[in-house]
Amino acid sequence: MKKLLAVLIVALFSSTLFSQVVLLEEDVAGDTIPETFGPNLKNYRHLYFEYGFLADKPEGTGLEMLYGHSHNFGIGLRYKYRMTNFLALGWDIHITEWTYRIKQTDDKVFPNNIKHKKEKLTVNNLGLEFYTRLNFGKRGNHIGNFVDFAAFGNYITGASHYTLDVLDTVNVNNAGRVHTTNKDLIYLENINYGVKFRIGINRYIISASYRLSDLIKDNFVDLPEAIVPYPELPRLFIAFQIGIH
Amino acid sequence: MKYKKLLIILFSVLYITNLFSQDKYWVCFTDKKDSKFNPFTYFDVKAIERRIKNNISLYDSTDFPLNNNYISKVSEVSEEITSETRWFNAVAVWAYPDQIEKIKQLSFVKQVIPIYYQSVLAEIKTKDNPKKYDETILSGQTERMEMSIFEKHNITGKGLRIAIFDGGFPTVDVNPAFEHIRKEKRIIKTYDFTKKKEFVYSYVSHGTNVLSCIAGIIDGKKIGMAVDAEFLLARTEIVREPFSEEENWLAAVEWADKNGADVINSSLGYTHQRYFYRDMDGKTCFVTRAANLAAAKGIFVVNAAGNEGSGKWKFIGAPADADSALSIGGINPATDYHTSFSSYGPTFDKRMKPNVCAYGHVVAAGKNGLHETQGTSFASPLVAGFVACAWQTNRSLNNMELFNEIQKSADLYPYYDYAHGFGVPQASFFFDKEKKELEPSFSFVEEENNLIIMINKDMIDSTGNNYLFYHIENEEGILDYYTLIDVYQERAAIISLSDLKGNKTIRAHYKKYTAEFELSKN
Repeated sequence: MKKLLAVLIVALFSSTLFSQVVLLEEDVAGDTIPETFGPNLKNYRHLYFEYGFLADKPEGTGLEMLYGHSHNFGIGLRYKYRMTNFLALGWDIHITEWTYRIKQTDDKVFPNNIKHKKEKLTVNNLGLEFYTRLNFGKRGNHIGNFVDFAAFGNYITGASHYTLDVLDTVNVNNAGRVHTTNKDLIYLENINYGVKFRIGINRYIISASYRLSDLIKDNFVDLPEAIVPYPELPRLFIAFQIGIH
Repeated sequence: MKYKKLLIILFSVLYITNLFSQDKYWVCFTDKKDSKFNPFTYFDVKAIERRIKNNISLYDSTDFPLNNNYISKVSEVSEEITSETRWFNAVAVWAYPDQIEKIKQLSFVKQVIPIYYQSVLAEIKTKDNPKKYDETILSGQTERMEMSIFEKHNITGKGLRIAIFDGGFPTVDVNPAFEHIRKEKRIIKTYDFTKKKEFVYSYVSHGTNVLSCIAGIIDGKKIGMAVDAEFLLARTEIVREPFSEEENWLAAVEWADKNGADVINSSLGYTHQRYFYRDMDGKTCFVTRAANLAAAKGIFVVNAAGNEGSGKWKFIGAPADADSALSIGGINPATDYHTSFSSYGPTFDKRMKPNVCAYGHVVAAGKNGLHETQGTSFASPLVAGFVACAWQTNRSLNNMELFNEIQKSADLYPYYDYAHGFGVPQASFFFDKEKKELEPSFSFVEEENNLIIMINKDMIDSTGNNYLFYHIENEEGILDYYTLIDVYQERAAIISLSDLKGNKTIRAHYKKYTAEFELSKN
């Protein structure tokens, strides 16, 4: 055992004593192979985050929005294929959450006429987008200044209608506050689509997303006259995006 | 209603798009017809002397003024003319795409080139602590280039005129580090090309640091080597880091030429903001072409290699890619080899850059006294001071002859790589030209399919650095591979010859001795 230890110590010591230290090493031939992946090279992809606010009115009556509280949040992966220094095409896949905070007014009809302390509709999307990018100004391997024109399609992966009620007296469960979440909202379409415009300077982007399709199913809008039809939810979100690159 | 909103958004986007679209261009003219030029009223006497010495005509058409008719016609169809360049027979204009199309149609317009901007001063950071700096760095930054040998021969850059292009020179008019220069009125001219006025003694202190690394003296200690040189101070950069315009650089280089500069020090580089590495080919970037033209007029151009070594860009920027500009890399005083941030070569067309190197971590004079700072921005003026001193030793050399001499003086020469160039220039070279026979410090030994670099046992220092440099050069004279090893044993490196294809030269350098091994596989 002692012998083994001694051999180990000698081995370690001698390897240190005779080791060479490489301080600098450059493989020039490998280094100077032209790259094709980069912000202004043939291919590029990056993650991005998006946060924005609702910037539009509902269509119809019986629904008003709380604008500062109605927002969207998204994460996406964006791919860009450079055609020229001024033109690129691309796609992105994203998940986004649209939150519509509903104002509690006397003439509220959506999704019912009951007033709550707080009420919101949340729609979760999994989307695909195709875009054309026009770049402005000269640049090196940078994203630069650009405008994107895009078309998107979303599949609604989930939606919920949430309410909060604060009771004057406790209810049968001896609780003073009631949170309610309704799922499987049959009045919502499964898919939606629209157009987007983006203006960006490198990683900083302002995006406007306009939904062309309706979110509310036709049969909930064109109901018999005896029942009040649902209004269509606002279509426009203005968001700030930040690219991770 | 639904689509009305969509249209409003669309129009807003198009409006903003239009805002983006105004751009800046060089409009180059076909000729200089009818322009009148008198070199004796245009040039400083030193500029005339330099031309005569270098056999350059005093009536070189590149120095003639532009045709005024051409300028006024371009002015009518563009937004604004911001500057002009005699050397390239061009004006810088702001114009919208439709305007630039009209300009292109003018019969006297030869070419329209977009102007690239966003340069970066090659400074990393500044520790502005006047009390704390490393004395060994201060003495080492000049002594590593053997300043004491220049001093022994009373060589201090006297009679040489150095132009510095930078972001500002605050306190140079009052700072004690430059008192000796002011006292002898050796700041010949100043000009702020960003504001079109003479005052330059404000803004960012980068230029003050740079000047001190050429000629500063504080408490009797020399910060740079050319303490007796004359100076032209040009402010070409607007802020410390990005956003400047190469048109200022171009205007400044013509100004420096006109005012008799012998040496230009420029510590900025244009890299990824506007260029690709493929543009670093010594002929694409306008500033690179201007640097080469300055050299063609007899000026010695010294430029920082840049601080992209550890960044994505990695390589030198423009105008350090100019073949006639001496590009300066940085070494770390603590290790005495390449400092990680110093940009690497080669150029895109595979020319060796940087050419030489110097300390990239220095002590410099700033607004509040001496402080430590780092960047190839400061390696460059250290070498610019060296260049002025070396030129003083032999004024009969022209700029490109001196360029070659500076490279030969460097401590790795004839060994080179793309991190150090030929190494650090040495003053002793200019006084002791006789080549001494050096005792070989290593040998190449072939063993089967391997080449062993065997270090002489007696030359392995158990306390100091034992740096073995070696590279593999292909038949086109381009390095495929280079390395630096700190050696502890005789069998310092084993190179597998069977892995190498074609004819190669394996060159190694150890303790001032360079040898090579030719591998022929034809």
